[in-house]
Amino acid sequence: MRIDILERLARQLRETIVGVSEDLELTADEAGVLELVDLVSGSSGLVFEQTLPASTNLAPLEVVFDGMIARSSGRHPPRILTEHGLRHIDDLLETCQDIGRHGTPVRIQMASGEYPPFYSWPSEVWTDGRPAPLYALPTLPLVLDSVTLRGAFPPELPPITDTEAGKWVIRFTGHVERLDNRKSEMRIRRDNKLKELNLSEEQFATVDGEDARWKRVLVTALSATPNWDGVVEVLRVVPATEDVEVEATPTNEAAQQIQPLLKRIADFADLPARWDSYSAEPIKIGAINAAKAFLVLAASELRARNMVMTLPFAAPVSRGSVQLEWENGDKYLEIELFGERWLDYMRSVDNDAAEGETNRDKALDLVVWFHQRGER
Amino acid sequence: MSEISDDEQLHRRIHPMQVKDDGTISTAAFTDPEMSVDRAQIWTAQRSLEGHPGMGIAAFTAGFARTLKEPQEVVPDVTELFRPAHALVKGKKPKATQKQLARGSSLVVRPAMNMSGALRLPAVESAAEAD
Repeated sequence: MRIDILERLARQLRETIVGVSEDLELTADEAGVLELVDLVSGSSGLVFEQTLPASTNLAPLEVVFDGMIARSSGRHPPRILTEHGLRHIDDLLETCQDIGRHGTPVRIQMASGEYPPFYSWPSEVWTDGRPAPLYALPTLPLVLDSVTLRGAFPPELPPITDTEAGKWVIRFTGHVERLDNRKSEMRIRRDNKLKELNLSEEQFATVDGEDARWKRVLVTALSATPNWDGVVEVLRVVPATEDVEVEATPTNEAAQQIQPLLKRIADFADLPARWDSYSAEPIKIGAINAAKAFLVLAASELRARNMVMTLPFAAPVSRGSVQLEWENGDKYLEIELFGERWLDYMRSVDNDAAEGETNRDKALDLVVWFHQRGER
Repeated sequence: MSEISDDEQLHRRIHPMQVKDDGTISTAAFTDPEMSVDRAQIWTAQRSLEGHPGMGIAAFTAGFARTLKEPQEVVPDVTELFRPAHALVKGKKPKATQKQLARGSSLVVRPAMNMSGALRLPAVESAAEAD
């Protein structure tokens, strides 16, 4: 499952929850927190968990899914829903359909206390005292980013045979070990023996049996699906020790297109204090990583919408941040990243401008806005 | 230190990574609420660049800065004994103002290189001509 699709789905679902919560006369606090819990051990399943106050009987999430199922099957939606709430649900349905049209059908399925049998669910979810997820959203067929996940597939489902997905090469020294099944992290533990690999994705998937756990390695990555050549970029690889060198190089076409820009941004780390000949701060690593990750997400988001990203101009900013600038005639977009959660933006068309703080999701929407023809 | 008249040219050094291939300057070069500039009538662009190889020079007038949507205060920096040309463009610089400054400035000395290689700029004044 592509991370960008998951995020798009989660974003739309959150918006729907908020909309339906208003119908239920719940405040934002009472609506509970919706979280993307897990990618379910490398499968394409997706669990949303909602924490609700004990006094609340109606879960907005439940109403949303009831509404979606009713709308899809032609039944009457829950009466409590107003036109306002239904509009949100219809938007969510349309998003699911759109994702389905692009090769990743979304199936809504009630978990109702029992998960689909073919998934190996993280046991932590069932721990007493923790809210159980209400629903699962498995997606079929499995269109995953990486054949490295093949080993994590439930036995009832066929492994991916199409390896047209984007390729990457991961070079590292040390010993790879997946230490935490719930975290999308690859950890590397150095041992006395220096190990160096240069593997294609196929090799990566079929490396010797003892290291089968590698197949469960879920790097935080965006990749091509078998259906289109997307972007491959390893966003986060977490070594267990600091003395391990890791290099991840995307090798597919789309990734290579964006690669020089990622390299340019990475090079900002070399700027010393006062690099602008005045009093500039060094560029923060967090800002650099956030900018790189944002670009990959933006490219992927656009590809999912059949758009091609115009590469922005990337500039270091004296306050230690990274700025991305898109300009096309009188249409202009600027996003400044201080870190993963701190972004500023400005968008303008002619002299009509807006600016302020934003978050990554909204910034992605702005990038989409910039690339939409005729959208002003 | 004399007051700065509206028509006086101000110079700000620009880092190569803040200039696009088409020669336009990134708004990222104009973020500082107390932005240092040199007064062109006291120091030439060449002088402002001494000790800063590779940097470019952007120029705009004091009057331009004072009439931005977010008007700036342009004042000599009386604390700089060894840099008599030094002045400050003071004021909040929201992104719209940064963009006004970037678009309203001319690149009178081009930076030596940017990250993607040599700048492909149309012919602009050399440092000597600019001065």
